[in-house]
Amino acid sequence: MVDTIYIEDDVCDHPRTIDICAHYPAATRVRIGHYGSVFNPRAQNFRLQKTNPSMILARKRNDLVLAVPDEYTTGGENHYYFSHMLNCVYDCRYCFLQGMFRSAHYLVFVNFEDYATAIHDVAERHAGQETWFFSGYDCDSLALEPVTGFAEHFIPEFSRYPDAILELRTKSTQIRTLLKLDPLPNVVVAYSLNPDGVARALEQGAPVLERRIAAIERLQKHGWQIGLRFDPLIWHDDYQVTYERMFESIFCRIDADRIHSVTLGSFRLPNDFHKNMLRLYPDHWLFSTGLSRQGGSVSYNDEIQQEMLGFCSDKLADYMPRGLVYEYSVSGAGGNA
Amino acid sequence: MSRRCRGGREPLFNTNIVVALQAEARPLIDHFRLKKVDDTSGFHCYRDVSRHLVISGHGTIAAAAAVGWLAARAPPNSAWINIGMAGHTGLPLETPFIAVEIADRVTEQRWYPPQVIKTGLVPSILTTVHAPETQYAGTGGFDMEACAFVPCARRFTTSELVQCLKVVSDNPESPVERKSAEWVSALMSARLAEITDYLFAFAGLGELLPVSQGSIPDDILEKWHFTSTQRSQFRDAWTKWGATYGESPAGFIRGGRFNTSRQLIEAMKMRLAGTVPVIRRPIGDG
Repeated sequence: MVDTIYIEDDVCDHPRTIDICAHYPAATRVRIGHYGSVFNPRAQNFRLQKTNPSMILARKRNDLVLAVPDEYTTGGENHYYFSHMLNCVYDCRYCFLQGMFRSAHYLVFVNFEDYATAIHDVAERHAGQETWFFSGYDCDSLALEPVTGFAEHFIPEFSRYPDAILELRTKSTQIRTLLKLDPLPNVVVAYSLNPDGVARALEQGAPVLERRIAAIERLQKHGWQIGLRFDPLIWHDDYQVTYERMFESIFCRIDADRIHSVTLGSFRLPNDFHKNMLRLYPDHWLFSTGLSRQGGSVSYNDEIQQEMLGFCSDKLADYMPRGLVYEYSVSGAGGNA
Repeated sequence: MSRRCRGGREPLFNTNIVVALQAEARPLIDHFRLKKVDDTSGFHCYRDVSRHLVISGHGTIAAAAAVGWLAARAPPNSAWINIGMAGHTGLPLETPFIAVEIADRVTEQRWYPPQVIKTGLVPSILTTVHAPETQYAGTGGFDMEACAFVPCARRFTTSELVQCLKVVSDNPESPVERKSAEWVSALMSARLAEITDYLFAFAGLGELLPVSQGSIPDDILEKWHFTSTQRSQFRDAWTKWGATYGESPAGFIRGGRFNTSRQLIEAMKMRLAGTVPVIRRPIGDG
């Protein structure tokens, strides 16, 4: 539920603004000149705002499609990401967004058509090359689908670019749109997964593991390409048991032979984000032990990283070829397991 | 909105209340049984264990000065609220409203106090004017302090904890005129229930701010002497200890054999580094 919606003057008459507002008829509407006047000021507390975030509807004017840093790529030749929304409806304690943004408000850019044009330009520039477009770096790709219609708008766009691949990163079970559409071979629905205990402790508001697996099962049966993202791996006392049990519960229901790709990533954050998150949650166990600085990042100590990545990689090898599994850590990133 | 917060007790997070006129403040002072503070050089101030109320006087300069004055005397982590009368273009008399946008009519600068508290109060734009508004031009409310109060108070806390709550004292049907102190107090008294409800919820929000370290017992602070760097390291280790083990390290410290403060800190760090976290679910999470 959203109680307050800030609307940029520039998009107040945009059809998508009107549609989104219709989902929240009781919300207070406040007109603003530029989203930055609400989203960017100093002296905001992400933790307090997260208890009842407002929504901001705005126009994205620059940098609609951005290149992905090398350490976050997943095969293919060219990698880009785009964010129609900043911030997420879920409240995951490890999430870098709480260290990156001052505000927890949901900032939705309603000018999807401009994103589509930017994607078209990039796709044309790389015609004949495998080019990835990631969605879900700065929000969950599907969690607000009934409100924004994001997937409904963008998936058909990709039928025009057979060399381009769209990855929708999500934890959501809002899959009705996907089940209505014909699957495209160049769209990957990538689910972020953690063992049930980890998810219940650290992923507030997100569907429990069982419901995510059920959603994956339905999407796979419908014909969608599925990616599995075990990122971040969370170090805890019985992680070997909980991760092994999770892999079992996934692969007894999901066809491993039809999985597009798997990524494993150690918990890692840029220094500044970690500093901000520690300020927000100084008393959280996630940040209290096992972490150290490595260059510009904070991550688990090398020994922990390698042990966890190795263990999970070995376990996954029971279900699928190692070539489909990509590992991400602070020291060496983006390689096949 | 509930009058009580978390577990039914009254929140103890300090709230600083800035009110322009004594007559506006009187119902709050009486309701909370606030005691007058002896140090009244500059402003009249009233307080109890979790509230400070300052009478600022009319206008932006007075409001800004009152915020600075109170910030120097009240606890550093406080919520700030400006309460008082306001004119309004559209709301009926006596309607309490919360400002979702504050504008300075002179500079046209705007502020948007984040609306985190679920409240039954009417949301409204609030424009700060420098003389009583008799034309009721534009939309929303009119006051004489908010555009100074908000940016000043934001220097001392996060913007979620800086709000303006006003009660409509005049509108186009019942235009502004000089009112008696009794009339003003009666107006505020009429909406006291809504105001106090909001204050409880507001202080409850403040309690969600993290406490960076649990209280460290006096005997430990007296026994161990830290340099400023060590003090920071010790507090950090103290907090992480609590997060990791779910209890304070007081027992570990009192029972250990450490010759120096440095040894103590290193011992705490080593113990922490060798501990694998046990997953604990957030308190209150079903």
